[in-house]
Amino acid sequence: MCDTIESAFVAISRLASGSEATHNVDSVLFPDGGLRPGELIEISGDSNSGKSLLCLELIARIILPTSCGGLELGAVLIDCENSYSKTVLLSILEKHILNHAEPALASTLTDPHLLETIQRAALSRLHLITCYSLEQFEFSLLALPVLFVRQPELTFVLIDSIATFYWTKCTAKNLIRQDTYQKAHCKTLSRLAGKWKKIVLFTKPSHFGGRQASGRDFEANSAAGALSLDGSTQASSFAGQLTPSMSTASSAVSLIDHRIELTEIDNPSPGGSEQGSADQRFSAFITMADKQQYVRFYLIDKYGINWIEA
Amino acid sequence: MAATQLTADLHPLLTEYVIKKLQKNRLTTVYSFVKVEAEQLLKITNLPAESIVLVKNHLIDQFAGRCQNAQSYPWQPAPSPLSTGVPSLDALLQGGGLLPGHIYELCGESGTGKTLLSLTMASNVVKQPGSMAYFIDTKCDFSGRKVQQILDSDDRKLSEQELGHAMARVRVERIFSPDLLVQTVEELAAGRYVDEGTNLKLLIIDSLPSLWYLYQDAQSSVEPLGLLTKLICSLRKLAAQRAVAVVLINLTVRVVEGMTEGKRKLCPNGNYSALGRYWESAPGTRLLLERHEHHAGSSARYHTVQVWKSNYLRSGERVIVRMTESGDR
Repeated sequence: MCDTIESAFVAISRLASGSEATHNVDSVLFPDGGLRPGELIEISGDSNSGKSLLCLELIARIILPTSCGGLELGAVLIDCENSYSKTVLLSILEKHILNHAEPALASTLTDPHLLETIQRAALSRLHLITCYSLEQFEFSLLALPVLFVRQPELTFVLIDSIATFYWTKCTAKNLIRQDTYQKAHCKTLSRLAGKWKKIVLFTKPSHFGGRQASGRDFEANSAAGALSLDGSTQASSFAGQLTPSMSTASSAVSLIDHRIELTEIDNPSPGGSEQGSADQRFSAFITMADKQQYVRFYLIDKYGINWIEA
Repeated sequence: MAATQLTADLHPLLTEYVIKKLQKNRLTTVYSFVKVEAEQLLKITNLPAESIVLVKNHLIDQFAGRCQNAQSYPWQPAPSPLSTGVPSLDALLQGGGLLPGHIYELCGESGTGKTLLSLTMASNVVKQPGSMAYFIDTKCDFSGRKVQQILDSDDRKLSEQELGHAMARVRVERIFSPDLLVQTVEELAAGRYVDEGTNLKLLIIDSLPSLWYLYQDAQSSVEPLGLLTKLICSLRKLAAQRAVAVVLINLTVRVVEGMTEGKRKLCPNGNYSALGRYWESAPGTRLLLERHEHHAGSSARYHTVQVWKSNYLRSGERVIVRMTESGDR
């Protein structure tokens, strides 16, 4: 299947040199040009704010052909939360194809068969790695270079989420703070991204890695408020002995190039518990590497994320 | 989940002798072996460089998550959704029922019909010959009689024999410790407890808080959270690899005044789900059950089922379900 035969050394140098191109993945999220190889992007948000969905949206734009507004590149999704849904991705792909197809192509899209062919071709550029344990996850990161060599068009790595296996790592005998855990992963991912010239995005719950880390992570009932406080003080006092704490938060920040924070906007709806639920609105707060910050708003419907034009 | 130990059966080149030498240098787990530089391994094991690379690559390949192309994953063709036996609920779930491979959670205050709904689902699943439902009971709420009533109340009457077979396809296990629960789920994921010729289609766990209440007075929440992680990971593996729909039962807890530290996701009636913030994003879909006002003069009770959170359904959608003696309608 290869047109040329090259030595392993040449292949690896070719891959590692990469192109310095910026990839214009999403003009709504990243209006000033795109993402550069080697960058690390964090997507954080509360439960059900659309982090996994945003990953699928970005994947759609990556894998679709350029005739449909995509980058026609490969992506690998490391799914630790069983959140990948083929049906949802197919809906998103359909939406993108219909919205962004070139005029020449758009006129032929009344044929559903053609739509399916484009979807199938796009899916062939997506690779999925499911991890059900911390060990599997760590090994999967080690296995990525092999995948990079086999699939040279693969440019994006998405991880959902990096917090999944934290409580496997943090045991009574081996306490580790959430931000330490995250920083260790960010370091590995940043190194991987830089060495292989890939763009890495990861999701995490917004409460993960914060100052008062473990508070409220576990409660048997409402009276366990006291329990959770004890949990957090114990963890943080132990951490004092773990690492000389030069503010870990800021060093983690330097590893991450861009941040996207998703939040639900509380809608005090007049109708209360009416059947016709008012559409839940969300905001995405984006912080770029050059300190630019801006906000975007969106709804979630059955075709994925629907950006609200300002 | 302890890291896997390095043993001789992992690769023909890893002989007992090599393992002993590695252990002397404190390399006991597979991961530590793979992370160490090849040069160092050369010195420790005296194996040739190609062999070391070969073994490393083999181990990485074996222990990493399966990498699949999205075209062929998940299963082709997709297994059909499991009807819950309640038409309005099937419509709410958009595919016509519970999706195999997905994890659902029924959440609500006591007495909102969670157990009954799960029994209805189980009964409906076992109507199909060859389909098995596994019910893990932690509260001794399972009632065989209820299942029989539900099966009996079907429009298409089952014969005595069919009824007997259907009831035999509902496996009930009483479990009272979180460790045993995790172990059972792992065994189910490995294919145990399922008879020849039947497929496990539905797993119900009723309920989770009753097991994790054991940790209520614990000093730290590290252990219960570790077990919850283990549980959800094993459930995801079971669901994905065996095409099983999983239904968990959880409670909602009332907000106590003054507990504002750390924002929790509140459901429409102001409660939040038990088991803590970590568990909020564990199930793929969380359905909230609430009591609906009585319709005067009717013996049936009405409950609403609302989508609280989901990664494929629209949150906020709800239906009203009628609970009768013979299950939900």
